Amino acid sequence: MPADAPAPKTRGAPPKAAATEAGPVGSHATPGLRVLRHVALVAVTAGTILPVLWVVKMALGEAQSFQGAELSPIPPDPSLANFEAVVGATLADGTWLFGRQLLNSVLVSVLTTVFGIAVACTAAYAFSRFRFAGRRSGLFMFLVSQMFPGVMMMIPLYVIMEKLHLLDTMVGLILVYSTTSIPFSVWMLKGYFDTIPRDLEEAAVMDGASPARTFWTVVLPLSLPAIAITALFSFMTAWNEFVLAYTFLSKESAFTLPVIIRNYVGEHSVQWGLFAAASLIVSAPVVALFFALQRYLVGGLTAGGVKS
Amino acid sequence: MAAPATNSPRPIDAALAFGVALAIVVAPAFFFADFEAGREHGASETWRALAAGRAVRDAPAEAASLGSAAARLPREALPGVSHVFVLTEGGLDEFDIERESALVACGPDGRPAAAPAGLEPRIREAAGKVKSARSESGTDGACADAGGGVRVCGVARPSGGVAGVVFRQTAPSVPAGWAGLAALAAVVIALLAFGRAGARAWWRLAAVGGAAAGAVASLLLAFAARSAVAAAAGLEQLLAGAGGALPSHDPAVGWGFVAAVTVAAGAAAGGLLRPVAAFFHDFRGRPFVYAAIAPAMVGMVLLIFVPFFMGVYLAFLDNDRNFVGLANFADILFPSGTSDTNFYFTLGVTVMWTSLNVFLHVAIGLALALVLSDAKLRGKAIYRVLLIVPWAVPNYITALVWKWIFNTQYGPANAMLALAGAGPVDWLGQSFLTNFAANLATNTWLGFPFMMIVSLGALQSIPADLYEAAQMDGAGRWQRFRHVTLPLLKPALFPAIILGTIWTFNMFNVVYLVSGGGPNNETNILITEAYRAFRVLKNYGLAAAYSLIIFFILAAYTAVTNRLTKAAESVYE
Repeated sequence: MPADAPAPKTRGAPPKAAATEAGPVGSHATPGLRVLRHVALVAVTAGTILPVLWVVKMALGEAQSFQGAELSPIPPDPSLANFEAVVGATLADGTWLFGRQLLNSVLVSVLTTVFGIAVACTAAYAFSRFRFAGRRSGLFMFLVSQMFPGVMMMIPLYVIMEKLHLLDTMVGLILVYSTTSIPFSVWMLKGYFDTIPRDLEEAAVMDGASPARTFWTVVLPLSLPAIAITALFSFMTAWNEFVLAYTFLSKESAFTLPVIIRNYVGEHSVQWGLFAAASLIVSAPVVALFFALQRYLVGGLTAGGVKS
Repeated sequence: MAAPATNSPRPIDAALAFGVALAIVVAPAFFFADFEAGREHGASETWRALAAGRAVRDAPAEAASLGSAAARLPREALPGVSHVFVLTEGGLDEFDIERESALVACGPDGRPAAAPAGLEPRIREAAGKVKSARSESGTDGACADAGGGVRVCGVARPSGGVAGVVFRQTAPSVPAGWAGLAALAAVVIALLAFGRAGARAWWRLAAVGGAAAGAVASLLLAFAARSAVAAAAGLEQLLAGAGGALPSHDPAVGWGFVAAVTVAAGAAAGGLLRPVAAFFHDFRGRPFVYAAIAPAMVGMVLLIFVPFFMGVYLAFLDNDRNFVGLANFADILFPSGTSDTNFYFTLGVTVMWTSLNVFLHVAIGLALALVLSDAKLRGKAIYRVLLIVPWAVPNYITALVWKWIFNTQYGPANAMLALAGAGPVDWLGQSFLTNFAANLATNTWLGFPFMMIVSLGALQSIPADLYEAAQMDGAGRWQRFRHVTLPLLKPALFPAIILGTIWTFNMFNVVYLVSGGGPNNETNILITEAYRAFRVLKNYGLAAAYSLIIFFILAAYTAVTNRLTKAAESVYE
């Protein structure tokens, strides 16, 4: 949260100030209660984390199967063989397949995010600041589009992509991913822009700044937390998406990383070790981003909802 | 919505809006008429090709006799014929196995002409289809596409083998130009009329003018479609002697079509006039606002709304792209004893799935948020970071991991039971309850962090003085929660719950990857059932109809909750 931001209309003060002693539950908890609270929290957290630890164990174990049901998350005989197998995948002609697919994933996700956010920001600003004919219907369309079931869109989207010769291309995926993420982004950013007081912009307008300039110099810097979170979601949409990528891509060198995970989980035999290693590799960047941006999550997500 | 600017739209805006409203109705009407004419024309063409095949069916399989049989065919009956052929015993049999055979072909005029090399596999493919059609449904003819608009149709010969024709498909001509011209004339008249009329009379004028224009346009389209069909039927007469009853033609473009388009055009022109005119007015005044939203809107319309409406259209077709009206919906909503799943059972499972999940997400998320929002809690940053991990992991990976957790032999779920001394449970086996529980556990793990973060954010925005004041008034912990926290959480929680409900309702990955719908598709929710219709049953119309039903359920849900809570309403202002 930008330290120099003037307190928005009703958005909460920074986290620390709000949750004071007289919090909803907290206040004068007895030591016994406090211990109990930690016990409960540790239990829930352990339950949350355990599946992840098991995956790590699986990734460090044997490639083919994962025999013997043991609850301990510590791998008996750790080795990096699975990771080497996943990362070292090459094509018959010696191209480094994994590198290519990693590059696909990174490019698709980053470009989706940049393109999607640029488009969503300008639209959200217009929706937030101007009253114009079609504004309400436009917002409503964004909302409705979230309810369209994906299964229904798959065949038509495939046909459209085929007509535009965008199958097996990054551009096709980027276009589809960014348009799927735009409605959510617009709603979130609009909610955040709504909470930024207009006086600041009015001052800029008085100085003769154009709407575009006002947005760029005044609103954008104040909205960085919300933009960061929206960008995170756009990135996750693209980085994690699997069904459409699986449908649109047929060349192995065009695959994104989620598609290769599918290959390890076959119909009849599952290579759990490779699956686990690939899963960790695919999840790692998103989890890292999530952790890096998680302090913005709280403010960024709820800004639109809690304003009076 | 704010009033569309101070000064009211001018005649030019109204006339443009009238044109847009008219196009919204007349364009789909045109596509429908064109589609109907094309479908009837195509069916007729197939019938004529098969009739031509029957006419040469009994010719001995020598080039000379085939040539004389071909020469007797009325050539104008099937203009696009390039070859007449006889394939003696052979081609592909019903098991797709190649049989010894000989292909004899000649031109439609009876002169010998070898079939081009590229066509031969197509002829054999058609022959294979003829055979499987005969063994499956008792019909004696079938067609195969040869690419580039060329089709091969063949009928079975009594002495074995297949006889038929190769022809290039023709397109029916629906002269839509007249309908377009009529609509354009209507807009010009509207421009003149709106200029004279007072602003108040506009919508009435538009409704009447739109209805009139719709009536004219739809009449023209209906006549055009019918004449295209009549032309095809006339050609069929030429082959009437060749065997087979003449096909019946029943284009859906009739009086009902004219009436529907007339009413729709009137309603659209009357109802859409004001908002669209306001749009044109604002657009001329402040183009930069529309420029700002244009990229997002264009992308969304092209890649979300267009596919959606293409899907809607699919819901009314069968797999051969025949228009079947509401038959796909009837198949779903009035399940017969023969189908292996029941829509109402699946709907019940979906509702149970969604409500249990959302309840657990909110309950766990809120409880954790309440505990974590205490400033004095030690290590809360660590707890929070660890607790949002499930949100960050891609959900299909989560689903596959949990499928492994519930594995009977080496899954930790059973290992845990073993610790407690209980025997192994076949989680993903034949029991509905254990399958459902596995899905539920997976999705609960996956979904609570979102609600936790939303609740945390909402809790932080509650001013601390409120609690202090409540405490001063002697409110206990529960009372503070009940009368301060909960009411103030509502505005943030309701949109999140609505969103969470939509997500869970359509949570394809978990159900598809964990239980896979087992046992016997019982744990399928509506979205996975739609996918099953798409992938397994390969009935695209049924899948689209399923999806449309899902959409209507969600739309109704959102509308009702919005009305009840006004939660999303506030965001509009």
